[in-house]
Amino acid sequence: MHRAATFFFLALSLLALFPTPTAAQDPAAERLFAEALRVLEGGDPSSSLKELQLLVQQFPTDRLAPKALLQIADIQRALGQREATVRALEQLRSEYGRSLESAAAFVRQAEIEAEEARRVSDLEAARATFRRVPLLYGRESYPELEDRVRARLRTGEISLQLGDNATAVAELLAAVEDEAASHLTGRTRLLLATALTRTGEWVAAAEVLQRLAAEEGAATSTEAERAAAIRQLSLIHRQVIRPQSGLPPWLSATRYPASGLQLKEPTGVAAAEDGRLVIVDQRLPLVALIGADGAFSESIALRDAGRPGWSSGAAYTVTETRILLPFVSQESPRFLEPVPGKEKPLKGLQAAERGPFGDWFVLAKGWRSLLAFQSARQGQELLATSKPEPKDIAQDFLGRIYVLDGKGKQVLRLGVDRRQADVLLEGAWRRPVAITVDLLGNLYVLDRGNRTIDLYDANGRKQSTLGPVLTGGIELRNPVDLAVDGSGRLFIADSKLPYVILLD
Amino acid sequence: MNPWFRPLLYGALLTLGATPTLAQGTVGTLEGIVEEDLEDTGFETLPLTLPEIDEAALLQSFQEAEAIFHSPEQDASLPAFGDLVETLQPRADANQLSAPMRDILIRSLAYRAQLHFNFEELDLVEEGLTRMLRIDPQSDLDRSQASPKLVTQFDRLRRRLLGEITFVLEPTDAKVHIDGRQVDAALGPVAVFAGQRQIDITLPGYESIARQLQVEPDVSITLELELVRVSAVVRLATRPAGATVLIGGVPQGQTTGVAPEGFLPQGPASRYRREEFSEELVIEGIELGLVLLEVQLAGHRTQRFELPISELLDYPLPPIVFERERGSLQFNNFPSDAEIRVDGELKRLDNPGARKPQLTLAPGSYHVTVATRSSKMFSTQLQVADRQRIEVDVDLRPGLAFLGVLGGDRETARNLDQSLRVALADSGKWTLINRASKAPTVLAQVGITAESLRTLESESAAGSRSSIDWQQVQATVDHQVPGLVYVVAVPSNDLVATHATVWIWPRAPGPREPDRVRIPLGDPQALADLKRSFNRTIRLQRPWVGALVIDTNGAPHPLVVEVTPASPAENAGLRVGDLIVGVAGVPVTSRAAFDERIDAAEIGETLEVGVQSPDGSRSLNLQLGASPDLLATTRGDLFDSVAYTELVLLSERTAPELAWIVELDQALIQLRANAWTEAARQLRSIRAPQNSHGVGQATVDYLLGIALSGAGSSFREGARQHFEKAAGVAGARLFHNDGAWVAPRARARLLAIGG
Repeated sequence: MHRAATFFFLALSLLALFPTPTAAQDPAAERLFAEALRVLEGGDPSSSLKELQLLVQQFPTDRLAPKALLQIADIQRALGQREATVRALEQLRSEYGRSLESAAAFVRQAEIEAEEARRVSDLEAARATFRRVPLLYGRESYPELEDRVRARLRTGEISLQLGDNATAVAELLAAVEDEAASHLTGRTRLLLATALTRTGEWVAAAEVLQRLAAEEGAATSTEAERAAAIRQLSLIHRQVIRPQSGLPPWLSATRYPASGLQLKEPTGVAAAEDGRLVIVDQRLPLVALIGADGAFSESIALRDAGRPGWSSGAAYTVTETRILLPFVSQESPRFLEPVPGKEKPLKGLQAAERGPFGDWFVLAKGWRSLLAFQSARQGQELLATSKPEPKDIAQDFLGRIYVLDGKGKQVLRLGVDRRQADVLLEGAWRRPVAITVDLLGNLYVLDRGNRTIDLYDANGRKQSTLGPVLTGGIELRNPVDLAVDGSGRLFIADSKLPYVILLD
Repeated sequence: MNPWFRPLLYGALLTLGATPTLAQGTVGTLEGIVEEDLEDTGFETLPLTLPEIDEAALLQSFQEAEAIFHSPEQDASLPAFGDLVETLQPRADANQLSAPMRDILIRSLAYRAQLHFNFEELDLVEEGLTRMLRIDPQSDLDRSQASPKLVTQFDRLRRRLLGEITFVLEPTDAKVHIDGRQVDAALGPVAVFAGQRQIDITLPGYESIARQLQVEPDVSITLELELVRVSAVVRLATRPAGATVLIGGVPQGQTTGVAPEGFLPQGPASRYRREEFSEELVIEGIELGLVLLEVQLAGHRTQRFELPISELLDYPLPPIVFERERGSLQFNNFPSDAEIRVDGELKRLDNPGARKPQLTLAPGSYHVTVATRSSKMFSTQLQVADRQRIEVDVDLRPGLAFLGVLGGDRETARNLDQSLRVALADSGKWTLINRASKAPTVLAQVGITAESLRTLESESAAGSRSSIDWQQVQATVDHQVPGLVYVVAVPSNDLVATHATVWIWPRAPGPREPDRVRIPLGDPQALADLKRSFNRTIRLQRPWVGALVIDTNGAPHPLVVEVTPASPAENAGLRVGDLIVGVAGVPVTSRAAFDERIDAAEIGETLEVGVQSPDGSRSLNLQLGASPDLLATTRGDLFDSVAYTELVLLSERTAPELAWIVELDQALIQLRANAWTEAARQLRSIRAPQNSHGVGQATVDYLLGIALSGAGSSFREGARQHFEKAAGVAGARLFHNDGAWVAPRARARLLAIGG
């Protein structure tokens, strides 16, 4: 079913590639292409591939040949045939170098490289491939080329991941200002605002975001993108403007969710960028999903749920032996202990973060280190030499991993290259238990012993402390977890309160 | 004109006095020649159809033969004269010879007779001379050149073959025809071939006389005749020829030919040359009484006369000079730099430069277009009648040339054509000029057809560069189909189209890339949207606040996050962190609502703004400033082609201090069309204010950097310099004074070009 749907959409994209009836081409090639479309739509990709391959062999100079090759690559990719995909893309680039489809081939090649990236250098290589597209397919020859816009956008996005904010601004700006507006514009503006913010140009970022937010009903941005812009503006409001005006970032503390879900002993909380929340309650016991609008969405009963989190828009929670994605039908990752020669399942999972390269960072009972897994069997211990007592982990927008060391009362930061960990900050905490990072890079450390939350800027400088009594009179009693969403709203799980506290 | 006419000349009233004395004779038979009396055969004589002859070539042949005749090789000319005779004689027999050819034939016969005489072939000499006399009894040898013996033989032959008639006629100018050929009887005796001859004597207004007369060789007859007057005669010539003359509504004849030498136009006609007049048309058979005479010529005013005919005389009318039928247009508000076209043809005004210039036209229906050099247009369809003066109020608007629908099935094309014309015409902003009939031919010259535009659309959708040279399109179409903006529509296919693509492009030097918009067929909303796009207006300035106001989830009102130094906002006391709760007493809950209130206000207007801050609520008096408003912010669904055109028009009426905004807008459109060189050229010429905040020279520098970057790597250094200048002005903005910041963008651009 899933596969049929995939090929149906592939067929739709093939239809989009189909030239207009006015294009001069061999009728036989046209028939082959139409047949490939028909069988693909019917869920038979291998027959479709045969027709397309025949078209390329028989009509190598036809206008449909590069389109067929691109489609071959897409079908192979959907079938998981990496080598065949790459071969088709390379053939397209080498034999039809000036075709529009060859630009698409570069983009697809770069996407594959980015997907398969396992280290910084891989990402840089993918970015280099993306950057070739505007160089090879300039506006003078291709005035409106969506693949060029996409390549610029992805270059900017990867540059952000790599911390190369200046390049990100340059590429994203070119995508916004030099290219025709398209369905990619909204996303590009969001990323541009992020890049500007990270270069310290938050006012310029706010202007970009506001313009995006005001595009109500425009075809160049989605409702979700406009909502994201408002969240980023709200974050600026909270973290920049309120302090400038002598106000705290959060003005109120309220019960969350306001209705629809009665908690008993919340022990874990994680927020998505868009404001959705996943809550773990060990007494009920359940894992619950709260929508961005604050309404209870759904829940599943789960006895051994640990700390929750978000990965690629999907909520997960660690359990004793695995990482469970309770609200999506995806496989739950399990790991073997990172000990050579042993094949012992890893147990006692406490917290997990999914890194930018698809790897998992895991904290588990009994392990005084950070465990990193590229796959279930490919694990390694990080920070083992410093013997921390890891309580929680968090990840920032650059993919850097923050480890809260309960013993050393410090926060360690592991670079995106995973080679070196620095002590970012030390705190006078009694019993630090949870850590989180917002989109501006601010750190929040929850001290269960003091019943406080310390706020640090991205450089580790302390900004303020919240608690134990919060605005509005709510007093923290046994705070155990905290989370921050894209607009800087702070959520606190206190196991002695029958609700999550929302600081807004 | 006085219809009464008095004859200028009065001819004598003649009556037939006496029956002429006719010498009776018999038809004689000449030597070697049989006189055929075709009248008695009972068969109708049909003209022979002879092949065409080349008169010029024959004349040349004759001249060459004549030259040989007068050379030492005189004998060698015989074959040439023989050929000429053989060619021309059959035509002479069939009475199909022109006067010059007749002369050549006679002279060829004379030369040939001379040659035969030299060869002593006397039979042939006589035969030739006889033929000569049969063609024209008046013909003669060149007696100074010819041998005296030959002359003697010729005279003998004449006496043997010819008789002579002396005509004594009354009136003396009566025309005499012998055997149908006119002879000049007034000069004296007329040589006539012996035999029975048909004599016809005619004179308009007189009863004709026809007689059979037997002519004897070497006998002289005197014929005295008096013609009887039977009707009045009207004579007239016209300028030009071709006029039809009617009497009492009945056509009498048409003026033809050219007036002969000696014709002297008099009175008002004396202004014209003789050759411009027709031959005199003679109308006879006019009876006594009042005659209504009408002279008509197509396209000219008909001349009418009432002619009292009191006597049977000749009534020569003065030459009639026709006046063309004329109506006139008188233009109000006609611009001094405008040109006028009538049905597409450039016309010269009767009195150019006059306050109300005039144009004279023949009666008819005309499409009149007035266009200025700045391409504003006025177009109207007018029906002009003779002697009618129509006042035309020239209402100049930008010209929107509708080039029709290319392709599609007939019904779709017709419906689309009609609905588009209605939609585009229903506007107070443009002058719609329908060029649908002429346009397809013009467009085809530059490769624009339904097929080529459909192909281009698919290529453009895929991202390729246009395969049509739009610069050439602009040049060709501008020249042949004047307009400011051009619109042509193409249905999606020629069979069952579901939508059409409307292509829009401006006159050069506007963007050389067309706008295009798809409209579903039969969708009134789509047409309404299209119409709205054409009617959008561009403003050059907008109210300026001087604050960045954002929406936030953290407050129910828009939030001030930046205040520009020395701006209206700062002057009013607005501060970062203020929430704007209301404007002019109206609650405001979003940035859009705030913008709406500001946009509705006038520049310079003072608005009461309610704000809320950590210190409490307060009310401010915000006096709005003026900010440039560049096209990007107002563009919306405005087409670049249309916008550029409007900017061209705006530039004519824009105050000098705002001209740079118009120029900047034009450059922005060129930039959007990837016309970097044109954009750079335009931007370099702009002298914008050196503002430290808002839109100004730094904005221009930034855009110039972009244009130069696009123009190629050789301009990189120039681009770098301009980006550096722009990056150095922290408060510079794009679009308007509350718009995007230039400096961070310029820094990013510097990085991108390796600066």
